[in-house]
Amino acid sequence: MDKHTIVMLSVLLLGGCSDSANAGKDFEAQLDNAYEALNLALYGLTYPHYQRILDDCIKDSDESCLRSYKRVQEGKKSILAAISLDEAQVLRITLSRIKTKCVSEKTDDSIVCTGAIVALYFFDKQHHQPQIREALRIMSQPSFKRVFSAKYEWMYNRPDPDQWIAFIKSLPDHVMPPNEKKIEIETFEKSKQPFEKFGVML
Amino acid sequence: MAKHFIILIGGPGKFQGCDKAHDQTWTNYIVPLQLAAKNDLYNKAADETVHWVVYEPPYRNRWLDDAVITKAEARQSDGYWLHNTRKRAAEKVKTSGASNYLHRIKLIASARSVTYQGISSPQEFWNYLETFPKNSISRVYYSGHAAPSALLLSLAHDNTCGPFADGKDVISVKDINKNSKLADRFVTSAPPASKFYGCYTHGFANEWHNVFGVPAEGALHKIDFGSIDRPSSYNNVLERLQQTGKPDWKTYR
Repeated sequence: MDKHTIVMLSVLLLGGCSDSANAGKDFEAQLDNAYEALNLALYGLTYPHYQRILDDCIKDSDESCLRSYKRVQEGKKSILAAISLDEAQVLRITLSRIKTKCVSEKTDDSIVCTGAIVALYFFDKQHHQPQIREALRIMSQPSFKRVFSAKYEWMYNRPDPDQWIAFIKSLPDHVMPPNEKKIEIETFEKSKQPFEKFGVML
Repeated sequence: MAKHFIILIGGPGKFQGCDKAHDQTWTNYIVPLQLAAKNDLYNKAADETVHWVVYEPPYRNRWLDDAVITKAEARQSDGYWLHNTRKRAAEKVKTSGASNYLHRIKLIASARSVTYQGISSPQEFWNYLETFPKNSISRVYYSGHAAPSALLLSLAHDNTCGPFADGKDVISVKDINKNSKLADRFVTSAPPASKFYGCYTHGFANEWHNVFGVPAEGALHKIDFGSIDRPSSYNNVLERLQQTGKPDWKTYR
């Protein structure tokens, strides 16, 4: 466990005894920091997005690339540590960030938005899926569009891709036009086949 | 029928002394295209009109940073006077008769008979393509930052000096398929290749080829825009971008 994670866990444990409101804020701040890190896995300029790039990065001792990779790894550890403590709370916060930050014009918010969407990758259990789909169903259009705006890793590790395909098909055309539905359905279909690992999967 | 050659130009991030590898100069993505226009390296057909579609927000922000904010800056911890470099760039633009970076780009475009089109959102790029008649877009080029997942039209830095793009400033690979209806805008009879000058753009080029049915090219690895300012055995500046370092240029046709 790294220092960053230990600090977060300590905050959580101590917070329960002394000041739960502040601990809650610290917990959310730590998650926001993790989301910011996960943003790099998709839109980081020097992040090694595929294994072959990571291999080159290590071979060439590319400092900028390695720093970016390390930051994403730390973000992953923070999210996973938080999930191990209270997965329901972390999923609630993640969905809340997508709902609120993805509508903002500010770059600071947009990073958290992207990172929170990337973080959906870590909610891959069967019981998470209905909650995620329900949140998406009632989400505002700008936030909803961001969730499907890129090749996000979360679309490749769903435990129930057929349920996701059914969800996509059930969306009204004004929420997702037919040509976009076709694209997303193909992505969920592809996730059933072997594919090259990318982004936060590394 | 007149043909249209569209060049999408991404922008630089703000100057960051801590990131010596990126955007030390604001001109990185303009100069190769300026030189190509000047030396007729586009191999432009007689009936082809060149369009520069410039993503304006980063140039606007950089100008404010270089021409206004830098006046208040002091010497940096690494001993570097940030404002000197940036002030020099801004003053050079003013000396040329332009009032800011975007105005300078417009003047260059005008001098080279290039049609200038400014855009403020990635969607406006697709909207612009849609304005052209069927069978009239001969090819599309891109010059700027990129990642495997997207063209990054602007750059920002996090609190550890890590460079990244804001999700609102990107054209993702996925967007190509979402705009598949534009396939009929492209010339169908032996079109020249569309080229994407950015790091790791091979996936974007491949998707462009698959969706629009035109030849496309991109880099499997990094592009070295710094090669423009160094001596090279490649006089053709666009060829230099394709060959310097190890971009491993890929063609899809």
